[in-house]
Amino acid sequence: MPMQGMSFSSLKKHTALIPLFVCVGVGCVGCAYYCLRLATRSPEVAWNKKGDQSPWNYYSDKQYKFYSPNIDYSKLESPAPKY
Amino acid sequence: MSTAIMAAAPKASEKHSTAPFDPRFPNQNQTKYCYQSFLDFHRCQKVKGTNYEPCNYFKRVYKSMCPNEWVDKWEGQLDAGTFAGRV
Repeated sequence: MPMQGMSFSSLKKHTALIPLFVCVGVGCVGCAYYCLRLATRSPEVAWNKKGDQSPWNYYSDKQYKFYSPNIDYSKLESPAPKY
Repeated sequence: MSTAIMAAAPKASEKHSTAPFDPRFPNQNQTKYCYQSFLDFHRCQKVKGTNYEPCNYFKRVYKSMCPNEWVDKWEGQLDAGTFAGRV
């Protein structure tokens, strides 16, 4: 017999396990999302060796941080002139 | 301080403003702001020539963001042709 709580029918008998699975599930999804975001959207990371080597320039009019307490710069644009 | 000097003070502080906030460099560590501005200044001069006034924006930024030691070192490397950045 498999471990109790690992199938939907046995989970109904052990409802106290549901919060555990929910918390672990949210943790795993959040971790995967954050790691992928770090790898693909981070202003420090460039995967393409031949492409643009200054990935932070992508954020000249965007906000990378989830939350910026002192200044919300999601609408601000970089004051540097274009040339 | 006399009132005449105090009245003149705000004008002087306007002249000495530091580099503005840039969304690309929102962190306390401003090293990349310094380096990017140094690169941008020399790229801008390469594209537009040395008399193009907007380029000097980058110079003002890196003058206030970079340690003078770094600027001296990089300019020496530029002259020697050993600067590591792509100008």
